[in-house]
Amino acid sequence: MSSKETFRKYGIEIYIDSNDKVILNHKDLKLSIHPFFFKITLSLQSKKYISNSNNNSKKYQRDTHNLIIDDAGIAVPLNQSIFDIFARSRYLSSLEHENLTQFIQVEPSKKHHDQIYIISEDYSNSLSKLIEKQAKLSKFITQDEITSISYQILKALSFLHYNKLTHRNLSIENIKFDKNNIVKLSNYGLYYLSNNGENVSFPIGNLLYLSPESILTEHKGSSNPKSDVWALGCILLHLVLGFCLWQDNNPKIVISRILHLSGLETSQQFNCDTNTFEENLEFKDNSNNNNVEEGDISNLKINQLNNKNMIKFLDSIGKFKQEEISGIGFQSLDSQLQEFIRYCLIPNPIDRPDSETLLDHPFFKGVKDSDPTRDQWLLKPMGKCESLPDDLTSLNIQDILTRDKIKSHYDIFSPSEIYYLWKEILHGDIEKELVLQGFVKPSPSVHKLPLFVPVKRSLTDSSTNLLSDNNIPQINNNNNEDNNIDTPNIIKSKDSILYNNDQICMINIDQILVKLEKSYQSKEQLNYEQLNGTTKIQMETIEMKILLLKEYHKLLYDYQYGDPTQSQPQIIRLARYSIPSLLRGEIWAAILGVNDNDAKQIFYSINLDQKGPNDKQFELDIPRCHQYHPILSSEQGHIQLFRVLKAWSVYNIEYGCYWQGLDSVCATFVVHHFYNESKAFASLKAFVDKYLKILYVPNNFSALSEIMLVYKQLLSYHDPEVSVHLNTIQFEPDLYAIPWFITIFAHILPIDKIETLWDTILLGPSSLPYFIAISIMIQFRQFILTTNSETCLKILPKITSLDVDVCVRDALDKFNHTPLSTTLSKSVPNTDPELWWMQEIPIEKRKRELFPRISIQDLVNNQSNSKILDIRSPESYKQSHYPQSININPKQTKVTPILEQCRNKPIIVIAPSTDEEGIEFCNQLVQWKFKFVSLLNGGMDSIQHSGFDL
Amino acid sequence: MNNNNKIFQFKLVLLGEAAVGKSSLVLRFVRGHFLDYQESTIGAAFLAQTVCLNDTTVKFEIWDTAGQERYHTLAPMYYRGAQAAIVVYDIRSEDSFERAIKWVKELQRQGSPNIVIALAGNKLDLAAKRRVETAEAQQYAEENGLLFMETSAKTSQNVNELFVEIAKKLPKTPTTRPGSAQTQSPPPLPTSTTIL
Ligand SMILES: Nc1nc2c(ncn2[C@@H]2O[C@H](COP(=O)(O)OP(=O)(O)OP(=O)(O)O)[C@@H](O)[C@H]2O)c(=O)[nH]1
Ligand SMILES: [Mg+2]
Repeated sequence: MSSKETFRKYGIEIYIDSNDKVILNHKDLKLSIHPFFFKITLSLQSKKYISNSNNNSKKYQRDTHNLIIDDAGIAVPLNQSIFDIFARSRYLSSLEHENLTQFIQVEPSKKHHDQIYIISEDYSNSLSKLIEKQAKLSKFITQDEITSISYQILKALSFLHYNKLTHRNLSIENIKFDKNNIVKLSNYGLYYLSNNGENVSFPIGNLLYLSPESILTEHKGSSNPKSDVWALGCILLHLVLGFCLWQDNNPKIVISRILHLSGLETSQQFNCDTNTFEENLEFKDNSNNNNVEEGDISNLKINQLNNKNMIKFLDSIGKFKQEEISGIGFQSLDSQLQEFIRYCLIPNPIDRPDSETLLDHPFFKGVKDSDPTRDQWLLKPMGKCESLPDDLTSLNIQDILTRDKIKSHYDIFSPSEIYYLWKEILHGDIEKELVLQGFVKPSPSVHKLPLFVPVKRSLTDSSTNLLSDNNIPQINNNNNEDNNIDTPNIIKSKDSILYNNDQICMINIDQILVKLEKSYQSKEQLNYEQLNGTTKIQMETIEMKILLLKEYHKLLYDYQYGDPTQSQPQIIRLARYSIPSLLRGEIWAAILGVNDNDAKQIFYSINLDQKGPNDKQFELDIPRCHQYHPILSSEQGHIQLFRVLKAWSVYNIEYGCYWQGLDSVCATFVVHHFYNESKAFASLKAFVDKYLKILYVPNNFSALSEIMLVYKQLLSYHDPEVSVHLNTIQFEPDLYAIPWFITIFAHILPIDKIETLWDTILLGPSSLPYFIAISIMIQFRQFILTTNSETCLKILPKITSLDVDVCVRDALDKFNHTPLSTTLSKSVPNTDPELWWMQEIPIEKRKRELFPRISIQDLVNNQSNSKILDIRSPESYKQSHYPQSININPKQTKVTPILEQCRNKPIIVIAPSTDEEGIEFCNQLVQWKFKFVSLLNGGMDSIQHSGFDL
Repeated sequence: MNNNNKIFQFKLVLLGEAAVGKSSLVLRFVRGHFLDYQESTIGAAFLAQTVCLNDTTVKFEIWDTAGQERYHTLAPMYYRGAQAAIVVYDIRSEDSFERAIKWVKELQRQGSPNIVIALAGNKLDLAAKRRVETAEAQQYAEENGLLFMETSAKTSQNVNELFVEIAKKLPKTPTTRPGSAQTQSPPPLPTSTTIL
C-alpha cells in the first residue's frame, strides 16, 4: 500500500457527483479544540525548564516582558510563554502518524492575550464508548481486539517517544477510533505544549493510569515516556477485567493503591478500604492515617519501587471468577499477552521496557507481519490531481467541473488543510464560533483571572482533573453536574460546526464541509459588481482554492520524489497566480530549487558545535530579531535561528560572511521551515546566492555603492520629481536604502509583509528589488515631496505602513516598462579602446548621472512609442542617424515644444562620443522632470559598431 | 548675552559595539521610549532632537551607527564633520569597553579637531552583572578629556543629562552655523574599501 493511499483513511474525498455538484465527503473526521487560559507567570516557570533541560544548544534568556494593549485599552504584559507554546505547537503539527489524531495548530485568542485554542483532529468514537457499548450488549472485548488495539497504541507511542514526546494523557477517553476502526490517540500534545504540565493549572493525565514514578515526582515536574507504557498496561487490564481495579472516588485512595501495588510499604498508611480492591486482593491495610500530608509522598523514592506486590496482584486477578468481572479475564489471555501486560506494569521505570522494545515483543509478531505500514511513518498528504491549463485566468468553474468529471477522481486533504480552507474561504473564526455557541464568554480580559482555566469543565476531559488540594473533583462521578451559574449553557444549533462530545468541544468537519458547500451554492448570487470583475477575485472561489491546493500537492510531491526539472517550472507558473500560506515554505523551497536530500546532507555535515567567529554577534542579534513574532521570539525559535545562521556562516566561511541583516533574511526562512533546519538553511543559501551574493562578502562596499547608484538612476527614470527633490535636499540613498537592499526588505517589514513581497520577488528577476524600492518611494511620494530631509530620514528607513500588494503590482509594472540593460553592468573587462563605451566608467563619474544608460540592444528592441533624441551636430546627423531619431540641440535653456511632445514617453538620447554633452543634457531633462530618460551607452559609435544598418 | 535664543546645530555621532544600546539611547532621548527588542541598526539611522540650555537652544543631528565590526568601514562617513560623539559600551562587557577605547582613539586621530567626546557606560539598570568598574572608566575618561556617564536607556537614568552635558560643553561660537536648517549629509560611500 502506498503512503498516499494510507493517508486516505482519514482523509476527505472531494468529488463531483452525477448532478455536477461538488461533494465534500468526510470520513468521520472531526477537529477538537481546547480553549484555555494560561497562567500569567508562565515565563518564570519556563526559565526553570531551561535550567532543567540538558539540551546543550544555546539558550537565550529574557529579562523583560512585551506589553500589549488589550481591548479595554489597558497595557498588559504579553505572555512570553504563549510564544513558546506557539513554537512547540509547530513541532506538533509537523508530526504525522496514522495512529495519532493530527495536531493542527494553536489559535491565539483575539480577545484574551493570555488565551490560546488548541485545535486538532478528533473522532467521536473512543475506547471508553466501545467499552460502554459492549457492556450494554453484554459482550466482552475479545483478545483479538485487544491485540490489535494495543499494537496500534504501541505504534503511536513509540512514534511519539521517538520524537521525544510523552503522551502522559493516555486514557480510554483519549484512545479514539476512526470510521475504519483505526486507533487514533488524541490529546497527546497537551503535556508537551504546556511545558510538561507546568503551564496549566490542572494536572494532565488520568489519575487511574498515572504511573508510580509520575505520582512520586508530581511536584518535581516531568514524566518520562515509560509512564505511557504503564498507562497502556493499566488500560489493557481495564479492557480485560471491564473496570479499573484501583478505582475510587477518593483520589488519595487511588494514589495509595497504586503506590502499594508498586511495592511501597509506606503506602499502607493510606486508607484503602473499598471492597473490591481488598476482598479480592487480600490487602488489608492498617487504616490508621486518613490525613496524609503531601510530604509523605515526596519522601518516597523511585528506586524503592519494586515488583513484589505487583506480581502477587497480577497472580491474584487470575483467580477472579468470571461473574466478578466484565471482561474476558486475565487468565484466559494468551500467555504472551499476559506477559506483555506484566511488562507494562513493572512499577520501577528502570526495569519497565520502553515502547520500542515492547513493539518487538513476540506477541505482536502476527499483527506486525500483516501490517504494511509497520515501519513507515507517513509522508505528507500528496493527492492526485489533474494539471491545470497554462492560462489560469481563462479558467472558469465550469471548466473545472467538466475536467474533474471526466476523470471523476477524488482527492484528499489533511485535517490542517480542511481547517485552512474553512478559515480562508469562509473566514472561519474559531473564537467567534465558541462565543456564538456559548462556550466562551465575550467578556473583556480585564475581568478574567490570569489563570489557566478550562473555559468550561465539560470542554476538557473531566477525568483529567486531578488536583492535590481540597477542590478535588470527583473522579468518574457523572452525577456531579457543574451547577456553577457562570457556566454558559451549551447551545447546540443544527448547523453549528461545534458539537459537544460530553467532555470535549469539537469542531465537526462535517459542518465545515457543509458550509463550504453552501458557500459554493450561493456563488451564483454573489454580487458581481462587488467582485469588481477582476479575475483575481473571481478565482478566489472554493473550487479554485481547493484545486490550487490539490495541484500544489501533486507538484510538490513530484518535485520531491519525481523529476524536479519537470515540476519546478509548473510550480513557478502556479505560484505566479497564488501561494497558499499553508504551503508557502515548501513552495518557496521549490522555487529556489532546494532539494530535500541534498539539504539534509549538507546541513548535517556542518559542524555546529565548534565555536565560530560570528557566534557572539549572533547572540547579540538573535534576541532582537523580529521579536514580535511568536516563533522567532520563542526559545526554540532562537535556537533554530542560531543554528541555521551558524550553518550558513560556517558553510560560507571562505567567500561569504555574516553582516547584520542576514539574521532577518534567515528568520524569514526559519519561520517557514520551523523544525526543519536543513530546509531553512538550504533555502537561505539559495536565496542569498540568487539575490545577495555580492553583499554578504567581507568587502561589499563597491557592490553596495553600485546598487545605490543603479537604484537612484532608476528612481529618476520613473519618478524624476522625487529624485530631483531628494537630490536637492542631499538625501542620498545611502542614508536610508542600505537595509532595504542588504536584506531584501526583510529588516524593515514585519514577517507577514515580507511574505507577500517575497512571493513576488522569488518569482521575479533578481533586479526586482530595485523596482520594489522605487514603488516604495512612489507610495510615499507626497510625503517625501512635502517634507525636509530630516523628516524623510526619520521615516524612510522603516516603512512598516507600506501597502505591499500595491507596491508589488506597481513594481512589476515598472519592471515591465524599463529597458533591461538599465540594471546590467555594461562594462566588459580588458576591452579594446575602440569600444570605449564598454570600458568601466568610474563610479565617481557615474554618480553625476541622474539617469540610467541603456545598451544598443534595448534601443533596437525598443517599443515604437519611444522618442530617440540625437543631440549631435546637425552635420553628423545628416551624414547618418538612427531611424526615427530627432536631431535636437542640447543647449536648451527651457523646455521647447518639441521636447514637450516627448513628455511621458521613453526618451533615448544619442550623444556624441565624448559623452559629456549627453550626460548634461539628460540630467537637464531629469531636472525638468522628464520621465523615462536614458542615454544610449556609446552613442552613435555603438550603433555603428553593432553593424546596425542605418 | 549675544547668544540669547539662538539655535545652534551640531552633528553628533554614536559609536560603539553592537547591542550596547546606541539606538536605545537615542530613542530614549528623542522619543522618550524604550523597546526591549530594539532591532539592530543596519548602515546608520538618523534622528534629531533639541536641548534647551539657559540661554540657548542646541539642536542635535544624531547619527546612530551600526555596531557590527564589519560596518566599521562605513563609520568615517558618519563621524566626519561631527562636532560631538557618544562612545557607548555595555557595563556588563569588558570587550565592549575595549572597543569603546578603540573608538575614542580613532576619533582623536581622525575625527574633527575639537570634537567633544562622551563615554557612556550603558545598561546601568543591570549593574548586578557589571564587569566594567565605574572608577576604571571614570579614570580613563578623565585622562583623555572625555565626558563620562553611566546610563540606562531602559530606566532613562542619565540619558538626558548626558546630552545636556554635551550641549553645555560644545563651543557656541559663530563658527558653529547657528540656525542652519540644512541637514548635513555624510559624503557618499567610498568606492572601494581601504580599511579592513
Ligand atoms: N536592560 C537594558 N537593556 C538595554 C539598555 N539599552 C539597550 N538595551 C537592550 O540592548 C539591546 C541592544 O540595544 P540597541 O539599542 O539595539 O543596541 P545598538 O548599540 O544600537 O546595537 P546595533 O544597532 O547592533 O549597533 C536591545 O535588546 C535593548 O533593548 C539598557 O539601558 N538597559
Ligand atoms: Mg542600533
